[in-house]
Amino acid sequence: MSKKKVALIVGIMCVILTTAIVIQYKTVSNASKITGTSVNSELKTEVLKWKEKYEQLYVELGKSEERLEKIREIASDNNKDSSDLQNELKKLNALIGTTDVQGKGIVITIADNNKVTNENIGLLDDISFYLIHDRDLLRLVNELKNAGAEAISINDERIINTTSITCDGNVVLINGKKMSSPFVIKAIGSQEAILGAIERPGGLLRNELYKYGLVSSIEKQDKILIYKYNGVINYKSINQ
Amino acid sequence: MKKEKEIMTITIALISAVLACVLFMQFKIVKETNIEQIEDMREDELKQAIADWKEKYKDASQKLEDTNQKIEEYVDKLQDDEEINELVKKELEEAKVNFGLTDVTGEGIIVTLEDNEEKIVDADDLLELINELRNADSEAISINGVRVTNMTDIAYLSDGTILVEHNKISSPYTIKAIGDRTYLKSALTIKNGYYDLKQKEGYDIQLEEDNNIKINKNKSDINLRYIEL
Repeated sequence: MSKKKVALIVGIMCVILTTAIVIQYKTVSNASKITGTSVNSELKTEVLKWKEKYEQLYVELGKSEERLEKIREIASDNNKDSSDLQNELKKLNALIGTTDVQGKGIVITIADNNKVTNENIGLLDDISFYLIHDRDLLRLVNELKNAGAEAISINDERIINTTSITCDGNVVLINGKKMSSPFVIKAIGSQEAILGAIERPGGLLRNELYKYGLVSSIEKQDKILIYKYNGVINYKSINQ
Repeated sequence: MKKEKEIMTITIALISAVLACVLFMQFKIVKETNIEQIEDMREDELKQAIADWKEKYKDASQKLEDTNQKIEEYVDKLQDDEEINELVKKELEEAKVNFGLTDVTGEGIIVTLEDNEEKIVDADDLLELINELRNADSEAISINGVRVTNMTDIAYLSDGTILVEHNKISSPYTIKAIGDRTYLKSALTIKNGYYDLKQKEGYDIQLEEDNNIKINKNKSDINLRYIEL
């Protein structure tokens, strides 16, 4: 390698490095132009402060709920009526989604088909067919419920009675939390019934998801753990 | 001369490493902001986020207070079987309300969808509507009198009727939802929202507010067969 060549390479390197730094600098200064006013930065701090306060309190609430469950169990242990009621309560809480649950079931992973791009897509095809949409998840959850699933989660976000599945630009919102492909759907229930329902001809999987290469895996599992709903259910409008 | 070459190579390698690091860091920052979102929020969005977190905080602290009070009551009455029975019963009642096993009333909206020559209402139309209502914070929903719970499924039958949790129903479909009626209505009737789109597609759809809706309890048997307690 001649000295000239080396100098040239170093020179090019320097140019690339400088460009990278300039781009980064510009990006950062652009970002602060949008949100960098002092009002916004105060508001941002405030958001983070409340988020943290909530998260701390939520941890404390979790501990309290565990304590309540233990004391309830001890208290109702030596009384047949109470322990029956207690079992009923446990059952309901499991279905409502306020406790972690475990059991047999199916784990489905679906993901955007990244092999199809705007460059290689067919003339009459539509790129959006190759992406997972909120609607696919909504219908899949409905099929799982139809097959008698007792607990369902998507990317560990528990499906409860108030759960909506919507989209916000390119991300899916479930229980107000943003998530994106791949989606891991866990369902506790009869493995045969669930497989039968989702794999049936004319069903969502056969008709659309398999067709566009969106199904990564479907697994039977004997010990699925589904986490409880991460939040507090509080009804404000209903009277009894 | 050979040594010089080596030094050069090392220098280039170092520069490359630094460059890679810078790019990697930049990539990471961009990725993190995407998840956090807060970086590119506008002022009103930030204010909304604060209000949301405050609300969540309030709910959680209320729940914490309730839970701690329940613990205290159990501890106080640990020796009294009858009192303990009452306490568990009370908790069970709350859970029943939560699941949808009690009749409830409250303000809300009533949506009616009807088959016509142009459009037949199918299961997905109802599924979408329920999803929209849930997204607008409705607290209790029924379809033609069948209370929707966390376990409710909606299926379309080939004869043009719809199954809601094994209950066969048919057009017209009346969907009741309890919640903040102003919010519910505005969420459904925004431009390109559910109401707007269905109407454009040619469905017969109506929507009215009501300040006293009654929604009956869910009547299914609750049984666990696969969840291990």
